[in-house]
Amino acid sequence: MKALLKSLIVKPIAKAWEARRVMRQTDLKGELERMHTASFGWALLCCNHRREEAEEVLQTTYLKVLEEKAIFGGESSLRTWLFGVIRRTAAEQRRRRWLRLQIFDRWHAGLPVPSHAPDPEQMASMSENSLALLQALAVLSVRQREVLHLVFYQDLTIGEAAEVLNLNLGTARTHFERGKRQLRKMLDPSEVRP
Amino acid sequence: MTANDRDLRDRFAALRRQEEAQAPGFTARPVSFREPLRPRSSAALRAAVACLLAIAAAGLWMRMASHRPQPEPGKPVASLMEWKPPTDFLLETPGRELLRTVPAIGAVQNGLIAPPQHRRNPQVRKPVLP
Repeated sequence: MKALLKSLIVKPIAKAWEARRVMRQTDLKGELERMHTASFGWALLCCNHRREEAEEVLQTTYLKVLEEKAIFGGESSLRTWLFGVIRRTAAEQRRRRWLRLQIFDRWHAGLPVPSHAPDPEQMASMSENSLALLQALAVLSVRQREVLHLVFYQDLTIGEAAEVLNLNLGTARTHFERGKRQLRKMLDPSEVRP
Repeated sequence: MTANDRDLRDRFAALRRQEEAQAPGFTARPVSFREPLRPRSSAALRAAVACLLAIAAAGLWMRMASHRPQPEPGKPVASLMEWKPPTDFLLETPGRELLRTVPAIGAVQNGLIAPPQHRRNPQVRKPVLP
């Protein structure tokens, strides 16, 4: 009786559930692929334009999503949710790297300290305008930089940027305005208006 | 959006184009998209842990069995009641019999004289003056 129940009810349900999970993952994979370049740009910003770190962060994020360690609840758009996961993953990796450096400080004493500067190879291939923009962005606070990137680079609204950064709309707007003002001042001092 | 905003947007767009050109391919990296891991069966995990525990217990038992002293052949095994620890003599301290027995009052024991028995409230008589 028990075996019959199992074969008639439990197994088909488990199969259907698995099929649904595979389908969901295939969809997710497609969505991730579609947003891949934008995600890479965001990961680069979260890692201070260090390419290797950005790739690692992106890979970890994708694994998190596909292994369902990070589950999209549908409260926001998939894009803002994914950007939030990327940002958290970058922060985790930064903390882990810092901790590793603290713990193994003695062993690292003789070794060169890893640079926090942007990747020089990547910088070499940038145009002069882009380099100037990156340098100006580096002077801004992290929040201002993130909001400006999300709005201008990723074409999100300020509300969506606030969702990604887990901020109030007003706070995000303040960061946006102040960041924009500072950026203008640095990029083109002659054009600054009061 | 102001003209300045448009200028910033253009600058960011140029940066995006350059970074997108350098982005790693999505499918070019096999490591980044390995198939999701199958959830490990908890039954298999439990079985593995049980096997490990059984092996460890067996090893411990064999080790203890090899170190256990074996009785000599032909010699009768002493019972637990007859057994005396080899350090038993250390408990035989001098004067131990004093602690074992109740001393008799007024008796001389080992050169010590027990104090005489007094009345509970002895009254000292005052000498009578002439």
